[in-house]
Amino acid sequence: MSHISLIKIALKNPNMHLLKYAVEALAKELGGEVVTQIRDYYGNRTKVELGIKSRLYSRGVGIVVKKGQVKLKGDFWGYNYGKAEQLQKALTKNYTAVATVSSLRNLGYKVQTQKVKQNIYIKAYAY
Amino acid sequence: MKTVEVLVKPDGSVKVTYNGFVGEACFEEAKKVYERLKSYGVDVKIESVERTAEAYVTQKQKVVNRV
Repeated sequence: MSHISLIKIALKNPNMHLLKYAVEALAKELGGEVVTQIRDYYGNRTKVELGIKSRLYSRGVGIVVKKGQVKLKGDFWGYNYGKAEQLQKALTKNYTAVATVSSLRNLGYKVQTQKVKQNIYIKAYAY
Repeated sequence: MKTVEVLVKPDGSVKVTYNGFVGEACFEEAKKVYERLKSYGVDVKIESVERTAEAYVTQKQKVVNRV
C-alpha cells in the first residue's frame, strides 16, 4: 500500500547534535554564522551554547533548550515580532529536515535533499 | 523500489509520500519513521492520510500482472 500523510510537527527534547547541525544550516541559509555570544541593545554580552548572528539578527539570537522546549534568547527590541517567530519556524523546519534525513538513513534508505522555494524536499529510496 | 518523499514546509507541517510498498507495509514503515523522529524529539501528529491507487494492489495481483 502507499499513502500520503500530512503531519504537524512540534519539537520536544531535541537531540543536541542534530540541533547544532540544524542551526549551522540555518545560519548558512541566512548568510550569517553560528555564535556563542549574543548582545543586547546596549552592547552587553551574554554567552550562549548555540546562537545565530546575521544581517537580520545583528545582535545575535541564542537557541536554548529549556524543559525540553526549543526557545530563542535575545534582545528583540527594534525587530518586529514577526522576525522572532520567523526564526523559530525556520529552525523547526531545518531541525525536522535534519532529523528526518537521519531517521531515514538509520532505516537503510539512501537520502537526497533539496531546497524548493521555502520548502525542504527529501527523497529517500531503498531496494 | 521503495521511496519515501518528504516535503517540510515553512509553517512546520510535513507532507510524506510512501511509494512502492505492498499491502499494509507502508503504514508499518511510516510507524518506524515516526518512532525514529520521536526519538530525536520531533513530535508527530498525523492530520490526514490519503491512500494512493497502488494501495489497493495486493502482492498476488502484482505477481499476476507480471505474468
